[in-house]
Amino acid sequence: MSLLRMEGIHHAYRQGGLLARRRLPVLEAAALRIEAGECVALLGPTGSGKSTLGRLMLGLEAPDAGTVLFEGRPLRDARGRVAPADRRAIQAVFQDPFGATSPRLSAFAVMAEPLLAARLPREALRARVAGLMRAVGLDPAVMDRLAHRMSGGQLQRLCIARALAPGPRLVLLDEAVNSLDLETQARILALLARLRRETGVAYLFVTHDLRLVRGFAGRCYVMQDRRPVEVAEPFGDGPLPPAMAALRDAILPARPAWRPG
Amino acid sequence: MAGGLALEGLRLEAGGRVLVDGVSLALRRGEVLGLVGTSGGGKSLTALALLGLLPAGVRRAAGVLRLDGAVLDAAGQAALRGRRIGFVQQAPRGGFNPLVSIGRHFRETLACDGLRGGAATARAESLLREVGFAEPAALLGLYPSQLSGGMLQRAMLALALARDPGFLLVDEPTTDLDLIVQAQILGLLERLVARRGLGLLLVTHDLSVVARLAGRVAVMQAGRVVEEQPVHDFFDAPRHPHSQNLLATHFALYGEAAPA
Repeated sequence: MSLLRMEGIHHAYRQGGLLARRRLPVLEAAALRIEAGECVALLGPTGSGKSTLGRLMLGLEAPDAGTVLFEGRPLRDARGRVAPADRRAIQAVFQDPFGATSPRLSAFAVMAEPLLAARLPREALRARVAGLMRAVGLDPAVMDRLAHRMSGGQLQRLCIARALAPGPRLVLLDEAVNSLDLETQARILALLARLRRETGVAYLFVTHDLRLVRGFAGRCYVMQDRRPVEVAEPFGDGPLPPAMAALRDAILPARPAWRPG
Repeated sequence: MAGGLALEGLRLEAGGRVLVDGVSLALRRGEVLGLVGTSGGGKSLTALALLGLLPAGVRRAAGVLRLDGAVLDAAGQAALRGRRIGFVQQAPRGGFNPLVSIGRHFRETLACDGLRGGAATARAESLLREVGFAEPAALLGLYPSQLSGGMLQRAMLALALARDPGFLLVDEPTTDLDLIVQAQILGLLERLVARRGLGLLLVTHDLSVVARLAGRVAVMQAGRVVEEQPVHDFFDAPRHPHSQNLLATHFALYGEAAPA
């Protein structure tokens, strides 16, 4: 049984304002599976439906048609609700950590929120938050400062710690390192790989940058014609779906080309 | 020091802390200077100081700005902005007023030079055509929310060029865009530099962007320029440990080891 299985997903968004009738199809007959503890990459350019697929995986939206199964059971019940245990089991880290945290909250408050359901006593809660912060390489001494006083890389670490707090089995990483600088990117990817080894969590790693996939993800999908297509060897010499070939061609050379003058 | 924009001995302070110290940069027309480094190293502040747009609380404690050899005072620097130096920032959506059409953004900028009515519209359309819009007339009536990030960034470039500046500062111009759109924007910048003879200061953390576009590279760390070299020498033989670290991380992205 797969950890997550999506089948026959159709999804469209209304285009051109509230009263318009036109609907733009974003996903058509889309299917995707993620096994427990696996890191799966989902590639595609902007507007190809990657994030929509992620939102369906989180249960934030219901697909127009098709099924989303989490551990073999439908993610949403007949009334569209996600069971609280499943909500804790599927977490997300998004691109912009400043948009994903409240500017009014301290780092502690950001981290404590997903843990409140466990009704820990205050001291135990602080100890748990401190432990999670250490796990992502943050100094627990800054816990009581405003979260937004951290740098982008530090705050993204905090968002990763928050996503891991409820002990999830699947984390959506939606462009989670794309706005960080090169060194921070590399450090966060190493951190995510280590946490996966330690906790057995699975990732859906959504990105447009094929370079980040190497050595990080085990399997790889690319969005082609509104559905994910699995690509066995994205860096190999074999034929590639056109969308993957375009992403590979768009990678800039590592070194400057010879230019006259 | 003739024939360009030069910054000498820039020192920026905020509340007694030194953020940028002893930074000197020279930008010549027709040349692309890449300014790289880890975030928080002072790259963006240096670019803002060139424009006299420092954030509240940050003070320029020392430093001289010269244009074609002549020292500029504060008023001279303010007069440069937009007129002699164009500026494009990272997230294009934040640079536009969401309630105002693209056309009105252009009219407002072009009115600075007394261009109005039909003349302003014609100029806006020719600028938009220059950045690759095949049908610019249709674009003028649209609002920023109706354009994609890549389209907005091209429109922003057209706006920055509206008053024919000789220099352009671009701060992480493609960081929010996907790689396919990034390749288009970088190709566009290269053509603009060649056609208009622009001096381009390219602030970025992405060394592949520098490799693609820059002729020279300056590396900043903790508020100082630690290395400046022609781009080929930089990639082949970086001198400073910080540059070597940056390049090692960069080459690891490509699955290769850095040159020893």
